[in-house]
Amino acid sequence: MKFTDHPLEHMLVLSAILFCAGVYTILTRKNAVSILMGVELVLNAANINFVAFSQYTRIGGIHGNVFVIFVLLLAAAEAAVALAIIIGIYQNFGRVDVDQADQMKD
Amino acid sequence: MTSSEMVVNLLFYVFAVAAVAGALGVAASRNIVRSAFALLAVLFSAAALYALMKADFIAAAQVLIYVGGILVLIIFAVMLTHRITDVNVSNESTPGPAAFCAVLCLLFALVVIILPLPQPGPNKWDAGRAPETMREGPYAFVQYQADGKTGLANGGSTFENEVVVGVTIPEDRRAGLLRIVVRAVENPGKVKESLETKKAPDATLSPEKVRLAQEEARKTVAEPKSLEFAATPEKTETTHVRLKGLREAAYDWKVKLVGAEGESPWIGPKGDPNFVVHKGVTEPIALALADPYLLAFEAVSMLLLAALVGAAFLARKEVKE
Amino acid sequence: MIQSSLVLMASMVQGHMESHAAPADNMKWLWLIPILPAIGFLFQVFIGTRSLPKPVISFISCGVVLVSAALSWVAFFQVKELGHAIEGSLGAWIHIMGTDGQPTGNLGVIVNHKLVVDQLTCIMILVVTNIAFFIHVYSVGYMAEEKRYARYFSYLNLFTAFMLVLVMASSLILMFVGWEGVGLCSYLLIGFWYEKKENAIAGMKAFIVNRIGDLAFTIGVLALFVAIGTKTGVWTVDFEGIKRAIHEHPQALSTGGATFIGIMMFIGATGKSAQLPLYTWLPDAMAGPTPVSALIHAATMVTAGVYMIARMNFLYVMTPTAMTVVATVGAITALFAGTIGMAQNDIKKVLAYSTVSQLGFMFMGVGVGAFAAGVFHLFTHAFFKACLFLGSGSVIHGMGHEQDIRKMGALKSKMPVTWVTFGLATLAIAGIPPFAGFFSKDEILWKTFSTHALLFPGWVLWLVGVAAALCTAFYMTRLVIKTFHGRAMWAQASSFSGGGVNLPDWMDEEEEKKREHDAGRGQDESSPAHNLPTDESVLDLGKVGKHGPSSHGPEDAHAAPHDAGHGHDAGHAAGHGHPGEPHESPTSMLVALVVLAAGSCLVGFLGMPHWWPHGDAFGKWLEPVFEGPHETKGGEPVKEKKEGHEESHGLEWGFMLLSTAVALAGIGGAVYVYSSRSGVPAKDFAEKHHELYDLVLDKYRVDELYDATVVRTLLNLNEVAGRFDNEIVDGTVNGAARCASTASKGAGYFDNEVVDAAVNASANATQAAGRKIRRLQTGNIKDYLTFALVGGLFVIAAFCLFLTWPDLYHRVFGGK
Repeated sequence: MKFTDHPLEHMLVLSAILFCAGVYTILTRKNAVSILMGVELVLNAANINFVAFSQYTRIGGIHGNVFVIFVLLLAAAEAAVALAIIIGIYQNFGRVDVDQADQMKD
Repeated sequence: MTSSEMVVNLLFYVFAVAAVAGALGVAASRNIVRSAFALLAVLFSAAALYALMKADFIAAAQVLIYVGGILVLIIFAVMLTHRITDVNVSNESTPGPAAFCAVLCLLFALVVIILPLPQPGPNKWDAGRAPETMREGPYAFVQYQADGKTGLANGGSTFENEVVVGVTIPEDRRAGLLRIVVRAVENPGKVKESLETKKAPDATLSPEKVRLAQEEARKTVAEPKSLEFAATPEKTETTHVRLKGLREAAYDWKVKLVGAEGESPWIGPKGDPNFVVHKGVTEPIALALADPYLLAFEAVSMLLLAALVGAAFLARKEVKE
Repeated sequence: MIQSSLVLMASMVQGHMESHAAPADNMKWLWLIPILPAIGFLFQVFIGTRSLPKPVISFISCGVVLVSAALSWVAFFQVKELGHAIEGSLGAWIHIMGTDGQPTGNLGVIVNHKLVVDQLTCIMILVVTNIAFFIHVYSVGYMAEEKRYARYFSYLNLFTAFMLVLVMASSLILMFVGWEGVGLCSYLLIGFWYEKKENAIAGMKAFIVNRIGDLAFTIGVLALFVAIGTKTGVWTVDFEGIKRAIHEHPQALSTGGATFIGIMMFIGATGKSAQLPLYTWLPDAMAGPTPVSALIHAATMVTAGVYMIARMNFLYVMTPTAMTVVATVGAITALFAGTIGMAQNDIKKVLAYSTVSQLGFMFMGVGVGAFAAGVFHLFTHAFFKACLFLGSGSVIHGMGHEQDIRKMGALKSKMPVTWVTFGLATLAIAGIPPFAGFFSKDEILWKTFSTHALLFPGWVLWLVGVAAALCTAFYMTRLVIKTFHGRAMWAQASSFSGGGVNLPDWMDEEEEKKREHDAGRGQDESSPAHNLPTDESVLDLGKVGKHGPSSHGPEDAHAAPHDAGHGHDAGHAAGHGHPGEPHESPTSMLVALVVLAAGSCLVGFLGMPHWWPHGDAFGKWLEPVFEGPHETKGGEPVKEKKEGHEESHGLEWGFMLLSTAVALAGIGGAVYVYSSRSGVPAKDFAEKHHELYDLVLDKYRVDELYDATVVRTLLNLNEVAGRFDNEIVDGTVNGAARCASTASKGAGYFDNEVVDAAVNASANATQAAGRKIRRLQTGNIKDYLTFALVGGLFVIAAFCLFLTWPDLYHRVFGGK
């Protein structure tokens, strides 16, 4: 049974679009949670890319899928910690506007 | 093209569009809750796409972890970081033109420039590639040089019960070649016990049916199947022989050349030319996690623990006297 | 010169290796004769000036000269016994390698520290040491109140040492050392009382005029050296060497060359011995203390020129032209100075011109080839001229520093010893037999008359000489009469207050008032017509009033004992505001006078005409040294010995009588004018021909002539050169400095404006860039990420443009 009629490139283009959307979100948004959502978008795009390559070709065997599993796990961990930080920031500053958390400014 | 195939093709578009829409929603929505739900759409679409790519385990994991864990967390955070009174939680964005342009450029670079770049020459990915071969994937691509001297063979696994064997025969020996026969023999030593043999009798089934199923599974194990497949030589150097209908087992394969003058003996490649046929990615992933990625797996588990503790600590509410 | 003499002494002390093999009789003790006075000099300089008591100083100084004199007597007897010269060498002094590598090859020369005492030198060292000794003793008395006592004696000793080196030298170079040395000492001693500017100027004048002569002398010496060397191959400056070279190669020195050399060296002699035209320093040299005048300017230094010509007789006999020049200049000088002497009023000036005149006689003598006669006159002249000078010193001392003879008179009773000795010396100088001067002067005149060695007949110069002798007798008698006879001009109230107070106007008012008060007499104005340089009288004994840096204050107002060991009436000294009269001098001074007067009487018999019994001991003694002049016929020398000895002696008797008559005439004339008629005819003559009188009185205004021509020119040149130096040279230097400073200002400006501007600009640029770039750091993570993304895009672009994925892949994974 054929897989699909869509070649690998279609998947890659899709992941590129998702990736760019995620980058745009990161760069543009003020709300920290929004930025986190952008990060998730990026990771997902990467995942799609990995799985596509792993499934459409056999470069590296199954390892692309395995990596996706890891990314999944780590994204979860990172999201948890980031949200905890955001909660902490909210509790301290009353808002989660990244533009105002600019103590690193020169 | 069967209707199911048409549906599958269409489904790709559907989920692709959904994912893109969701992504744009995350990027552009002014309401943070809306963007959170757009993210939900993206995640689900991604899972669907994984499933379409026959990465079943990953699809499930995606749904479980991302949607069920991370997205929920995000929505919790959204709720927690706004005053209750703010129903219309505003999610302003500073649409920096610089960022927008940069992102567009990135998209452009990725899609237009990088993607069509010619891939490097003959290698495992590229050799003898014909578009249709790609479409036929996923497959385990094995190369065999019929002169018997060298063999480029690697094993692999496929979660599709179709394996494509590529037989490369130099020009000077192709004269009078009629067909190429590939025989795939199940390797009993490597047959993994399928679930059939091990699974617990279904309580709903009658004991008879359970016994029959178990016997059939045992028979499968006991009797290694031997399948032969033939193909006419193609004009290119490499002839692809498709081995279809393979069960979930490990196979050895040999090649025979049949010519006008007679037949060559069964030639096996050097190395370990077995491949395993799987259905789905679950077993391969599990095998990979257990063997090469064991350390990483354990480390990630440690990391998860640390993240858990850290997040719990970071999000604590300070007790004010 | 001092350096060379010090080197001389130093090297003698070290004792160099001999460069020439010494003859069997190398009498190094001869060096003691000049060394001892030099040691005296050093002693006085280093130790004596530290306020040693005067008796010690006198003892040391006189002692060394006495020992030198004794040694000269020893040398004399040695030479007499051996019959030839003795020499003492201490090794080589100058050693110049010849240009052809030979020790005395081409232009090479060896000058030795060598003293040669032959018969001529004997005479000279005897004269120098003995007379110097007596003058040292005289100075003890004369300079008894001098503050710079030790210095005076040091100079006297130094002079003696140099003079001895001069006469004993074996080579022209060593003689020149002495020549210069005595010039130096003359300068030092003339300007001894340097507080008075005129004295210092007189010293400088003496030195400078001498120097002019020395230049010509040096040229002559070098020309001789080169001429002898190139023609004969003998490169030497020793007298012996040159003499031998000329005798062995008679053709070596052409007549013209010899003439040139002879004239050059004679010009040096005119400087040293005060002949025309370089005589002008001698009268001014009377500014020094009188013993100095006696020693240096009468007996010794001024005779150096005569000695030199006598020493170089072998050269002069070759050149009739040079000899003519010498004789003529000598004769003219004799007459010239004689005429001046007739009008002078300063006792020492009269004697000075008399010295010049007598030196002219000596040169006339050696000029006509009568070398022995000339040296004999030198010999006798030393005695009577020294006696005259010392006598004048005695007079001055007794008259309280009065030197104008118009203020003297009738001193014979007051200073009898002085009168007697002075008179005897005057008779000697006038040429009265049997005194010394007669024999020597007569011989010169005879030889001049009968010479054939000149370019013209000798009687021309003889006439001049006779006239000069007449003048000599005249003015010396005039001097005696005016000083010792006649009216006592000093006794007049106006002119003798407390002993001839001729206080110059610069003396202290208080001093004058004190003297007035003491003496109760009016102040006398300074006497007019004091000749240059002036008032030695006031300074003579160092009892001057305050004037500038004078070191003689009024504290010495009274006479300390003039010399140790000689009692003396305290009431003597004039000039202290102490009433008194001219008095005789102390014994220390009289001793010398007596001895010298005795010499003047007696030494003449050494040079009696050779056809008298025991005649011409002097000439015979000097025979080995001199060769007679060659005959000249028509100006060219004829190489035959002059044969005049067998001529009729009648002519000689006649000349002797003629000389005596001339002398008597002179004396008689002076007596008539000044004694019988009390100088009235002279006064009338002076009034009638007052221009002539003034001219003669002003010494023919030669000094003024020199001043107007030579001195002014040199001073103008000096000024021009100075101006050139100031304006152009300094201007150049200043201009260069200004250029440098301008350049440096420019560089500084450049540095400040341009360089600093560049530096500041770079700093400002950095700051501005920093300000702009700093705005990148917004602290906004999103912005940072944006930048990261942009950077990533750049990387991708780079990859796409320059590097393709396949290349990268192959780079990473290998492959094609």
